[in-house]
Amino acid sequence: MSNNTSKNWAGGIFKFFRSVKLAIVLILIITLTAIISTFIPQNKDLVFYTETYNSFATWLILTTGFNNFFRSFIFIIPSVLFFINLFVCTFDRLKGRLQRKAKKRFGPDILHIGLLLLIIGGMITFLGRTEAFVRMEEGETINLTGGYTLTLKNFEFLKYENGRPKDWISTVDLNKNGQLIKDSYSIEVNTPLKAGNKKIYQISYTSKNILFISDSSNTIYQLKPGQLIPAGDYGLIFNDIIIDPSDSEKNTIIFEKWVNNKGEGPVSLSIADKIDIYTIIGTDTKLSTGLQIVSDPGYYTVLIGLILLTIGLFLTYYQKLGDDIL
Amino acid sequence: MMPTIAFFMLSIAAVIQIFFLLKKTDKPDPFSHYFLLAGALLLLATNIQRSIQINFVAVTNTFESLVFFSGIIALLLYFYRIQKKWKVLQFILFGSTIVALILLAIASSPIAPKDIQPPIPALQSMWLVLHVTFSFIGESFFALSFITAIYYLLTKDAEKKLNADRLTYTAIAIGYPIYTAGALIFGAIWAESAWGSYWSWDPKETWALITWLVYTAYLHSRLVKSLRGKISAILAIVGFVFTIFTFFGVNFVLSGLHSYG
Repeated sequence: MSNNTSKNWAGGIFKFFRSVKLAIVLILIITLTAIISTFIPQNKDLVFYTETYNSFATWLILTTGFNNFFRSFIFIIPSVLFFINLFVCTFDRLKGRLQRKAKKRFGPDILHIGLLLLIIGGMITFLGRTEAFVRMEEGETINLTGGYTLTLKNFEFLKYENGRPKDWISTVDLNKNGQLIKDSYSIEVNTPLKAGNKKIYQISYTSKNILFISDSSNTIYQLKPGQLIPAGDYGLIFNDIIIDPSDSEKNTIIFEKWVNNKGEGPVSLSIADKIDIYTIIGTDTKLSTGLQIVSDPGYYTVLIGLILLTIGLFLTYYQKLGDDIL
Repeated sequence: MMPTIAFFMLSIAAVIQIFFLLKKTDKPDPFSHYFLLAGALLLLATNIQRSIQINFVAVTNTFESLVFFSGIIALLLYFYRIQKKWKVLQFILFGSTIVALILLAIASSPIAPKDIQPPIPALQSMWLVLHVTFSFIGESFFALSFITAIYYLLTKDAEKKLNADRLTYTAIAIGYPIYTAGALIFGAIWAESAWGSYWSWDPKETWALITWLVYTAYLHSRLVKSLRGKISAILAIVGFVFTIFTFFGVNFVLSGLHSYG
């Protein structure tokens, strides 16, 4: 008796999840809630929501999780149900196809398996993906996990004639346990470097102004913004460089004048000007690259999912091409 | 210059189409498809000319995307017309030509700057080219299905209803795999190679997914007898409204990674 009851229960649950209607309802629920989420700014501070919405709307957004929609139960529960529904439908359909001597049309099955893998891969990524950001100057070396070291040999910022960015290229050497395995590899946007289970992406850059001065004994000093040049009863803090694109010798150097620990406003000087015993001899701009190091354990699962999805879609279309319905 | 002449061509096509539509004959008009073809070729030539100038496939800004989108719609209409299989063809020709004209009108407005600009580093990828072109080719079929679905809801003639329903289904059945490949698959692969993440839940990505889900619901609604017909037609209309919102609405209402196109 109890065996029959549990069988009925299992059969009922199976029937419930095998339903195409359920799939449509879940798709519409996910669609509607996702639409609402795009109109609510995501992952903001509590203060943002309290200042933007009235107290009831704020309570509703925070309780339902619409402030962090893709991690909220309102998204995750329908998605999990959809996954089970898709899983049951896929294998029920596949089993039916194999048992019956129906047309061997596996396009939709491949497509659905691809989708299942995408969801699984997405979950693996969600749980295990890590990313780290590093800023590097030329000549700098950083240690990565797994015995890898990365050395930035050169960084270039190329521009089109109208000044728009054309490319950022970080030329690096990659070593593993002291052995050079990638020599002068160019990391560019859309061309990441693979290092074991990690990938390194070109993400950003920064530029830093450098000022060169010499003293009466011709010793050269290199100054970064914020550094002070003492000049007897006052001091000049190096702030910025206004670059003259026609001639770097005509660059203007901006300082902040300080007397008795009190700022007295900006001072503009040029190359060859003197500050007490010091002479301004040149300027330079140092670029540093911004790299993102990503480890994504879901990468291959998602990739296989995408490949199966593509094959399944076009196979389905190709197989229907012969029917009079298409 | 070429898009302006193309706009003129499509306008002539629309005038011919409405004239024959008002005659209430089931036969499609004999001329307008030549103007549609001329307009389509001029629009696609605009993309080719700009591609030569920037040394990259010119689908990297709103203007170029709109020119490509309306060019593909006009080209599809030409191919639909020369097959002349369907009784509801004249309405589809007219409705879809109007959609192409509206897209071109938006392309000529200040919201779509016409400067010929070489692509910034993130856009220099063949995955981006596949992402954009496949998405718009798929969406061009959705534009046709939008018009046929409207016709389905408007007409009372049972045979024409059946015709419109079948046309809606075939347009979506062809557009769906192309759109899925372009918007979701190639888009995800491009995002992974550029930013190290297949998916970022950026508002435009989310809306592309929403659009895809609506068309997925449409295709599955064909499997449930009670949902066929009116509900399917409504889903096809909503799908195209969302397609357009994904393109324009997200750019102007919401912000994110896709703010350039």
